Amino acid sequence: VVTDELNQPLPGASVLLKGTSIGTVTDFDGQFSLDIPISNSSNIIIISYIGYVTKEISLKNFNNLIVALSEDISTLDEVVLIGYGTQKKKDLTGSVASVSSKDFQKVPVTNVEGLIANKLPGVQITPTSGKPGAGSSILIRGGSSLSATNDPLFIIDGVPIEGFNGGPGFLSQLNPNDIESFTVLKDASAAAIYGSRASNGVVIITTKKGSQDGLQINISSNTRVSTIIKKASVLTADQYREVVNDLGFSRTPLGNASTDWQDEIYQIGFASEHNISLSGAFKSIPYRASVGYLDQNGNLKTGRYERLTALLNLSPKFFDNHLKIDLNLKGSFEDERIANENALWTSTAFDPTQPVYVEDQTYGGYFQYTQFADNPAIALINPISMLNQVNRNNRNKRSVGNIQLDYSLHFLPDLHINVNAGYDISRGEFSDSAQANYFPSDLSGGYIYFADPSREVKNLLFESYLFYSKDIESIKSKFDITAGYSYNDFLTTNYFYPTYRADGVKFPNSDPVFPFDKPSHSIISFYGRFNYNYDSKYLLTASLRRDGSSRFAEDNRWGLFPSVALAWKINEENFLKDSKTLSNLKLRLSYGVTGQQDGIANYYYQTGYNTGSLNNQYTFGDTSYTTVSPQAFNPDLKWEQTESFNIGFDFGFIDNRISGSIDLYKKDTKDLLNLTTVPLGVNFSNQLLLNIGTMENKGIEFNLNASPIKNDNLSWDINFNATYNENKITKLTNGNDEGVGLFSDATLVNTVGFPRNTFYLYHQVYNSDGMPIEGQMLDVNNDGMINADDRYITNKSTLPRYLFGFSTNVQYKKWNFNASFHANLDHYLFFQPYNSTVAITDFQVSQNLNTLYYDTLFRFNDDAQRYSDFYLQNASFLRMDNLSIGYNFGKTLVKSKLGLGLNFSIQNVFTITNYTGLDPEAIRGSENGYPVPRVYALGVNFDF
Amino acid sequence: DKQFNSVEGYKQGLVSVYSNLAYSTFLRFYWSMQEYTTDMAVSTWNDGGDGIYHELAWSADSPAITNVYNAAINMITLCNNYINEASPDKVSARGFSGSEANQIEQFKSEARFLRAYCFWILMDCYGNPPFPTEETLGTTAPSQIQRADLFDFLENELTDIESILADPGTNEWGRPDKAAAWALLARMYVNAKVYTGQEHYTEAITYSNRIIDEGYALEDRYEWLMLGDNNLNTNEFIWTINYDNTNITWYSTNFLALGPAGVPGSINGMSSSWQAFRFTQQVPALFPTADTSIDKRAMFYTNGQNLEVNSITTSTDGYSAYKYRNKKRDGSPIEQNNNFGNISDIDFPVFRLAEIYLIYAESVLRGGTGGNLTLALDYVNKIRGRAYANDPSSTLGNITSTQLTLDFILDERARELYWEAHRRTDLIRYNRLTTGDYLWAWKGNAEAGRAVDDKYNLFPIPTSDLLANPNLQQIEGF
Repeated sequence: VVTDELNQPLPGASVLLKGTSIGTVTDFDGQFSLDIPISNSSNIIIISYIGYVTKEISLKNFNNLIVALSEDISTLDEVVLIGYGTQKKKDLTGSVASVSSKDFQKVPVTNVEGLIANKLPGVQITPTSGKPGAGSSILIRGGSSLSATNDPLFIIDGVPIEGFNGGPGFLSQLNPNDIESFTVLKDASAAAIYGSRASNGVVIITTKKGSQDGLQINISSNTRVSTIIKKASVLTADQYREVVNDLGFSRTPLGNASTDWQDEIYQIGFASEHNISLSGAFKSIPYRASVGYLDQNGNLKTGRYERLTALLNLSPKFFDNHLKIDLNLKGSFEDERIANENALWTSTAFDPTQPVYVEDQTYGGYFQYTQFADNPAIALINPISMLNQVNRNNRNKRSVGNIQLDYSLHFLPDLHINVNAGYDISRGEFSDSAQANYFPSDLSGGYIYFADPSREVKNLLFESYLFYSKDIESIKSKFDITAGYSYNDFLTTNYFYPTYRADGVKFPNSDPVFPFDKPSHSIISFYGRFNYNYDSKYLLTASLRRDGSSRFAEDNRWGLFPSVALAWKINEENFLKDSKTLSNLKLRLSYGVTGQQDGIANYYYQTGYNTGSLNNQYTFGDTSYTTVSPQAFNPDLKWEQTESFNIGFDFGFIDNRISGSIDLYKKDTKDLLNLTTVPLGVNFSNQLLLNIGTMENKGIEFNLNASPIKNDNLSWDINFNATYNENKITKLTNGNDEGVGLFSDATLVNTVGFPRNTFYLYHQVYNSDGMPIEGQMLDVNNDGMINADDRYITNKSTLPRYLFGFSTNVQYKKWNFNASFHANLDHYLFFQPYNSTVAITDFQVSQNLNTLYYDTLFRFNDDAQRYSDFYLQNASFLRMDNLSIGYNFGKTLVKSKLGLGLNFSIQNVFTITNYTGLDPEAIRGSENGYPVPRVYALGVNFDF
Repeated sequence: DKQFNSVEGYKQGLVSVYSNLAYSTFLRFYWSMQEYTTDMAVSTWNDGGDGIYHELAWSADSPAITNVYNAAINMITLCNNYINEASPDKVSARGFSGSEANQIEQFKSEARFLRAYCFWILMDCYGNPPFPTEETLGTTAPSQIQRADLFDFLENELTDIESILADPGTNEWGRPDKAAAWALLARMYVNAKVYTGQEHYTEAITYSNRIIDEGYALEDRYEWLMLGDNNLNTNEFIWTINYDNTNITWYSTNFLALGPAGVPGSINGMSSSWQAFRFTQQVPALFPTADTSIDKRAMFYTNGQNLEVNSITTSTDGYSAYKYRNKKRDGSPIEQNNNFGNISDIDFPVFRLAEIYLIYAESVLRGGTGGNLTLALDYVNKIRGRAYANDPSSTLGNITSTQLTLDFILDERARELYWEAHRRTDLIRYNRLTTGDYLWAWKGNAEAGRAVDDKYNLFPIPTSDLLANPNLQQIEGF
């Protein structure tokens, strides 16, 4: 019997008679039997299992052998995926972080990125929305772009994934239960092999594969309940009445009801998820297949997301393992009803003294401002009618797949030929309709827009590389060379359709000018890498990639992206080799150049004309003509280039019971792709994508893993990581950079010497009671006027400077406790809800105020007041993200064949912050976004 | 290049440039700037921050002031692009010659006209605007041009294209002809002292004469001017911005029909009012009575409206008017052919003969040569005859030569041209926008009105462009 340290049987461990090919694997109870020929001289068996220390047993007694394998805590032999190949963790030269399935967050998450939240230093994962199925934004080391994308490149089983491709986000189409590992390539030496798309880092995701072991079936199921944590603090109906009575006037008359509109639009969300996976080997072909189903109701009423995913992985080997084939097929169906998110903001603004429903059925029984019936565009719409009378659906089918062949030549086994062909295709459907009696579309009799398909995406990939490795023991040297070629083609087809009235009559002139368009682009790449290892102490990696993109004019089309890295395994030196306490110490140095081209429209470098719609014609004489408008363009567009330096230490003590790393990095991005407010009159838009300026990110990352307690009954693991990132714009124009710089919105500027998205505001003047005096700003230059010259650059940015992550896991017998936290410090947001009575007296429709009104008693929010630093808030926070408890019965049921596990978890447990808005982590503090809920989940797991 | 491989393509390009007049925010916000700043209108809704206009209290941060600025410069940019595409080199390189090339040359001159019109708007409103030309397009930040220099540029530009533009009245409706260029010149010259410090009343008379000599005539009835079928007014209208309800925009003359407070759908030909704007009580006082019994231009809507504006944001305070109606001359509404049910067909006359008559008369009174008081009186009385008797030749309502004073002209302009986006410019020419010489309700945010700083004769360069374009200097006082 083979067991683990806790005497649990280990099924599937491999047992081999040393020096022979005679072997077997253990069964579900960890048992094995081996017939050893009498003639055999050897009496040693080798027992191995992934993640455990391999043991050699000398056979003295042929019966009732019990072998306990100990877990391999020296994870340094772990193999880590790098671009176009793998490397042993101990031989890494770059800054690479990886998390495998055993370390994933132990809570049911909707999206794969939730698995690694808080786990990695320098990786900031922020939920973009609380919408069902919505994903997160991932920012690695502060991002390197001003206004091109800051998303990293995602590579899933060898296929780079681009674009949103329909649905709530591309990662959401993966089933978290299928994920085997996440690897994040952070520094340029690791990422540069991906060249022009790697500036924001690269995330490599692999899915679980089959093994030669026997059939394993896993069924898991969970039920989740989600609730809204915090509502916007607006006046109650009574408070609102009081304010109106004090004012003596409201634009739209008070009603008699008391409605909490936020309560009306929200509901408790239920979700259930079921997964089944099978893995094993069919005639020596390892396979894994899984099916998952998720059905999630949103907290915003009527929102619903359903997802069906399927996966099949085959990994056969042929010709004495000379040919390895990996086939990965993934498919997903999504069906989503999108709740009208305008209701989120409207529910905070709608007059709380008005009822939800009225007897009059003209508008479906919903209260509406009928005085604006002739021009509903200027009315506020009842938020409940927005949810119930508008129906928006999105359906998306997607498949991603690839086949990868790795052939090591029979006559030269050190040389591998690797070929990878992949695809990513999808087809989306979209429908949007409003009932004929929906107030805003009542005049036109409702509408129906149905697009099937709305969009089709066909992305193709072909890659091939040669890999040669050689171990020359005579000079204590090992080296390997990779050289390859890659071609990636991206094609999207967008379809357009006319709109119909709810009764089916087509609106005149709603026919699209074109039935479809087909934006496409392609990237061609050549790449190579050289690894050299001397005496297992000194490591060198150098790589080079040349990328060509169709997104640029011919002169700027090609870019070269080199990198080099050195590592010194100090602990292998003689003076440390025998240290008992120090188990690992490695110094890493790297330099590299990466590029960025995402976020650029496919044809932005050319002048082009867009054709206007049929209902925007213009008449000369008696003839109407469709119009064409020239599009903004920039023929000089080129790659954004990031140069990165990284110095890192990896360390491990006491058999790596304590391990970690420290990295110092500096990234300089030049030719920043920047959506810049350009002077009017230069181009066809006052915002233009330019290669402008340079920016630097520098920082320190610290990561610590510790296992303070580890014994048969109790083990305790801790992970702590901290990041300090300083972002600074170092240059913006070719000329004088003394000015304020470039606005990214009315209150945010990008200014040389400051982080991107720095607030640019007036100093508010306060009275002796500490109340802000309305409209009074400090006249900084004392010229008697308040104008832009009096605004100041606050040096406070929306980008947090400090990121912390902490997670801990306690295993006590069959119990498991897990908790994780994260904190962002030195992070600012602008919180400016309605807080002046102008919203009641002067707007077309009186609107509710935030309770901030009691702190300001503002009447207007005039020009300067809108840019006051009164609204700037420190949005630093500490959040407990996850808390979970699980109990694993083990394989104790049905003759010890069935394993059972139960778990309960809470996500988004609490947040400590001084920020007074809804969510200090909401992207740019948007108060009108979909709030991220708290989720309670109960899950059950069966293993056969 | 495909766009410009045929004359039709060039024409479509020109149409597209002009469509921006109609579909951009330009007209609606230009109207707001010209009327809300004066006695002619108060805004109920503070739409886009336009409440600041009536207070005469804007700053470079005020969002409202960016609208016209951005829209006008955007149109200039599109014109510059078109002018480049229609350059002789490109036209001959694309294989056009002879009459085709001439046609394209005429299109180009029409784009230059529109550019001149937009520059005039900027000169009038913002003083020293940025000066983007076809040469700076796509490359450098435009430099700033001083008001008097821009005046010279426009003078040269308009006289330069004059010979290429179509003869008066011969071009398609909506396309400018020689008379449009003359009308813009006449308007510039009568205001020249404001722009340059120099008087150009003689030139104003010269160009007014050229138009009048082409045989334009007043339409018989004032009430026909702003109807849904006002494309019939070819005798009087010199250049229009065209609207047709199959083409959807909320920035059309919609707001002129729907915006006046109180006016019901039965009158405006669409649906009931947006309750957006009303006159101050000073405007009805300019008419003999606040109804059409004497002066048929006094199309005040008084039902449920108070004469006095006690509160700017109370839509029933102040009379409004039903001058703009989406109806035909026979009184029937125009059928809606769109999915909104509320779109206007009323073309907006940028220049019409009545204004030219009044420019002529004012310029004569201000000492310009080349005209005479007899003709001036005759032209004014044609306007009066139509106003009182639906007949320009009628003597009803006529005035005598002693009554023909500059003050009379200003008031007559108010009566004839109200809500046609002239008032702010007129009051500045008479130095009455900011001074205490003429007060109206809530001028300077005081109920009885008060004088304000003279800097409010201009709008500042919006902060957004000031920060984006290092070549720009803020004008004095902001």
